[in-house]
Amino acid sequence: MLKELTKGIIKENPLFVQLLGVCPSLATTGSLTNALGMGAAFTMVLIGSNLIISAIKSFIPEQVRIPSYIVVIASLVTVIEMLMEAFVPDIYAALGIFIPLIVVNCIILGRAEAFASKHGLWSSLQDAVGMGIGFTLALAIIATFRELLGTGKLLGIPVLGAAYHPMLILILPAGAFITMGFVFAAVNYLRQRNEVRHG
Amino acid sequence: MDSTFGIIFSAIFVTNIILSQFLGLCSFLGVSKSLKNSLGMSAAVAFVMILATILSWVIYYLFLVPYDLVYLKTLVFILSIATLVQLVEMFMKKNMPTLHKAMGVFLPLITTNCAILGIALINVQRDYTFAQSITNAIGTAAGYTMAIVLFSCLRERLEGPEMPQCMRNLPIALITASCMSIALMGMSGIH
Amino acid sequence: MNKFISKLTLTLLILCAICTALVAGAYGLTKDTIEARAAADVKASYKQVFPQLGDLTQEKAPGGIIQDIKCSKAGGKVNGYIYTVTPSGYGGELTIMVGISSPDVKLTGIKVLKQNETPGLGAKSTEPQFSDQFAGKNLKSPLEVSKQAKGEEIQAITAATITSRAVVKGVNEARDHYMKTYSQGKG
Repeated sequence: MLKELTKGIIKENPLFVQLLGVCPSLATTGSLTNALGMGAAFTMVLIGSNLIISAIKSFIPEQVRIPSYIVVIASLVTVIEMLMEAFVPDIYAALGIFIPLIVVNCIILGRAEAFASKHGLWSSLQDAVGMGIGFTLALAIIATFRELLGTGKLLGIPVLGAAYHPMLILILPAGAFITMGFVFAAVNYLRQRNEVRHG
Repeated sequence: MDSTFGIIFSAIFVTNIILSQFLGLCSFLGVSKSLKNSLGMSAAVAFVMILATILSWVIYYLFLVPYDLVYLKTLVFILSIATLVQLVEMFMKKNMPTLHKAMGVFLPLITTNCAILGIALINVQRDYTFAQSITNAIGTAAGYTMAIVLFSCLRERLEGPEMPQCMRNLPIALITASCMSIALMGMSGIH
Repeated sequence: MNKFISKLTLTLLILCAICTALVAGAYGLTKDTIEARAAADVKASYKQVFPQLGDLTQEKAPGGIIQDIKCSKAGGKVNGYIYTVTPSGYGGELTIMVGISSPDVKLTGIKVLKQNETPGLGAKSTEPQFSDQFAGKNLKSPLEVSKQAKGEEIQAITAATITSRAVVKGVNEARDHYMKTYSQGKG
């Protein structure tokens, strides 16, 4: 019943497996708070766009479907951006330009094209929620490493104590690449081990 | 830092679009496996980035600001970029077949390249004048080219050496990118 | 063929119109909240750097790194000035609000509004540990920054001397302007 929901979390995780949405996952993972904010904004846009596109799919001529999807997604992003500016201004300020850039996040356009335009409302909703959770989870994993080791804090609360000397590099741009590199290596390692077992 | 040289230097080295602002990463990781593709992609990005900057600046200051519609900028910019890319592709196909052959395959990918929309939004966010916007677009395109061309040279050399199987391809590429980003950090105090 | 193209155009046109209308609607709904919040934020910042806040009037800013000056009047008498200055730090300009009380020339507080400094180093300039030490300093002479601060000196942030100096420079610029313009020849 819920198989469209669970696939996005691990098996088809948008970041770790499909390698989509790399830009925000590097830029907004300097702290766990930002990563969760980005994940939430992303999930809301994805749910909205999947539902709308699934609902209007029969009215959209094949030839203009991509521009139509872009219009729908861009409008949703603008609405979410304004809501965030009004109600969670701190997260809005921290994420900055990466909120409007959700428009060009390949995952959202990808789900619209590959899934929502071919499936009904209920499946599309599940798909969006699953992919949203999967993406947020991936961001949270990277951000946990970066914030914990880079500042000794988590969600802004000191965790590792004063004796821990923070590895500052991890919250700088270079640290984003290096953390992502090792997280991807770990994901690869687990997948390859699984393949050996089952293959 | 608002002089022409300042903007260009900063866009290439200090706030490099890929290595410190994380825009355009999908294309950075996607096409950088060979030097030839990197050059093609860079040329296409530079071309569209400059045109998109001109277009978005004109639309923003001639239409959106006077009519108090600034909040529509994301929607308007992405639509004009998508239209622009389509037009450029059709025009090239008809009139410049050689150029189309070199850049053609990369053009459709550019609509969803966040570097283009990113630069259009950054230019209006920083209140750049028309000349400053174009300077910034040129500098950013140069920074993009530098990063992706150097990176593809490094990546070609990563094919050979032995390493744990799980580090191959993307993980080692990301760690290489991190070293490049560290190298650029040395520039960040310069004004 | 023509009919087909006009159908495509029409679909896109209708879709764009609906979407724009929705965005415009959302804008209308959130606009007041956003503006009210921004105004409240500015008010809170003024209050933080200058606790005895009275009625504010705009003063003429000289330009350069001094972007804005507000004059505060309580009971018809000027009791201080709030400066907004933008000195250059390590990663670009910092925007800092500085409160100076009048006529006793005391620094009532500073707040770093915008900065692009290195996270974990210069970015600590926004934390109370650094910014709270400014309140109450005497501005009769310019502020000094030091790695081992004593007396009226400002303790620099470890490994972020450039940022610390930039903040102090911003405060001193505001002080110099105050001394020249508002201190009625007593400075």
